[in-house]
Amino acid sequence: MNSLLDIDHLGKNYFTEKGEISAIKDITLKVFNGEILSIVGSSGCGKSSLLSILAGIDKATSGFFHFAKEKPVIGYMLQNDALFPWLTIYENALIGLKIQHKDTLEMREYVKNLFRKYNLAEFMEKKPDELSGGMRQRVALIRTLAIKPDILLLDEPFSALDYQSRLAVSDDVYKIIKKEGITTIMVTHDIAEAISMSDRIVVLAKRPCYVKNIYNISLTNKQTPIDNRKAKEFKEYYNKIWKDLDVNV
Amino acid sequence: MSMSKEAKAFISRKKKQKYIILFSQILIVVCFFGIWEYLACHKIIDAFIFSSPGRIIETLWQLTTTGELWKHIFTTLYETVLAFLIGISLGLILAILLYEIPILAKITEPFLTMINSLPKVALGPIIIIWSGANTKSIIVMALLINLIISIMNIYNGFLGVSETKTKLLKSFGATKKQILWYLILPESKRTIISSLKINISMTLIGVIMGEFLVSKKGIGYLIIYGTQVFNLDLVMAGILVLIILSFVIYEIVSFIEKKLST
Repeated sequence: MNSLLDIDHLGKNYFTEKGEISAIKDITLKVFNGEILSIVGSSGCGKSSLLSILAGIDKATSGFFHFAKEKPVIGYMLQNDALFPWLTIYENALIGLKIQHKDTLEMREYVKNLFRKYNLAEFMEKKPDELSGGMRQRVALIRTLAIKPDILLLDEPFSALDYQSRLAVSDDVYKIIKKEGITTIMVTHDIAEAISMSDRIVVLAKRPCYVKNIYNISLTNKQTPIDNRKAKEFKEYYNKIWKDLDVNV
Repeated sequence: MSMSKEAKAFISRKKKQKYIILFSQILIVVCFFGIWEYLACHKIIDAFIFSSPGRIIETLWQLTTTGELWKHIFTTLYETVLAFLIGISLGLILAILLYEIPILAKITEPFLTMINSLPKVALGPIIIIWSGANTKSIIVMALLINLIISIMNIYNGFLGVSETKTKLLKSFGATKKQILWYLILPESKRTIISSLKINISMTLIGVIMGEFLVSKKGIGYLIIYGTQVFNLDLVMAGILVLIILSFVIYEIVSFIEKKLST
C-alpha cells in the first residue's frame, strides 16, 4: 500500500514565559492511501497539536512530515462545527472555496451535489441554528469536502454531540468518507469510536507523546460503525487500547 | 389555534402589567410637574431660582416662535452626528489596526486606559487653544470622549471572536485580510452595533461639554447662557430639550441597531 503521508520524528515544544513545555516528543508514522487512521491518547497528550501541524496552522519544532502529493489539499474538521451563524448552510459550505479562490460555477454545482447526496438539499438556504447538531456536523463535513481534500483531518469531530447523535453522526460521517474514498486521520479520546470507524489505530503515550502502539483493526463482517461495535473482536481491541492508555482516575 | 384558559389568563396578565407600567410612568411625570407647578404657584419654592413647568413652556414657546430653538437644536444635532460618524469610523479603523498588530495593542494599552479614565473636560482649555474657539473644538471634545470607548469596545469584541473559527479559516489557508473580512467583522457585528448606542450617548455628552466651553449656538450654549444671565427658565427649557433630544437620538440608534441586527 502506498503511503500518502510520512511523519518522521516529529516533535513539538511550546514556549512560555515560565519555560518550555514538550507536547510531542517523537512521532514517526505512515498514513496510507484511503485508510481511516485514528489517533487515541489521553487528554492533553498532544493529539490536536499533531493535527494542527499537519494542517499547516502550527509548526513542528523538530522532525518533519512529507506528503506524497505536491501541494496536497487538506480538509480540517474541528471539535465543534464552527459554522458561521450569519450565513446559510450553503454559503457556509462555500467558505473554503472562497478563501482558496476556487468559487466557480462548477464548484458550486459540486457543493450542491454534495448537499443532494447527503440529504441536506432542502435545508441549503437555512441558517445553522435551524438545524440539529448532527445535521450541522454533516454540513461541516460538506464544507471540508467542498475543497476536494486529498486528506481529511478530523479533530474529535463528534465530541460536541450527545451520545445518541454521536453514534448516528459517526455512522453518517463514516459512510461519507468511505463513499468519497478520502484518506482520513481522526483524533479522538473515545476508544469505541476509534475501533468502530478505523482501519488502524495509533495509541499515543501521555504528554509529551510518542507512538506507544499501532493496531490494525480487523473486525469480522466489518460494516458501519454502529454494527462494528457488535463484532466479537471489538472488546478485545478495547481492552488492549485501554491498557495502553494507562488511565489513572 | 384555540387558546387554553391558562394561556389567555397569562396574556391578559402580561397586558395588564404593561398598562400598569405605562400608567405609573405617566403618573410619575404628571405628579412631578404638577407638584413642581403647584409649589411654584403657591410660592412655596422661589420660581426665579427653581423655575416652573409653566414658565418653561412659556420660554420654549418664545424660543420656537422666534425660530431660535430650531437653530440651537440643529447645531447640537449637526455636531453630534458629525462627531458620532467620525468617532465610530475612526474607532473601527483603529480597533482593526490594534487587532492586526498585537504588539501595537500592547504598546498602546496603558495610554488608552489613561486617556479613557481622564476627565476630558480638564483638556477643554487646551483644546480651545489648539483648535480655536469654534465647532472644531466641540467635535474634538466629543471625539475625545467617544473615540477611546469605541476603540476599546470594538477591539474587545474582536478579541472575543471564536478561536475555533479562526483555526478553521487558517486551515483553508486564509490570509489575515480574509480572516478579517469573512470572520472578524461579521462576527463582531453585534459588538460594533451595540457600541453605536454607547457612542451616541458619549458623543452627546462631549458636544454639550464642548458647547459649554466654546459656542454661540447649540443646546449646551443655551443652558450655559441661561446660567450666566441667571435666567433659570432658559436653563430648565434647555435641559428639557436636551432630555427629549437625547431620548429621540437614542431611539433612532436603537431602531438602526434592530434593523442591522436582523
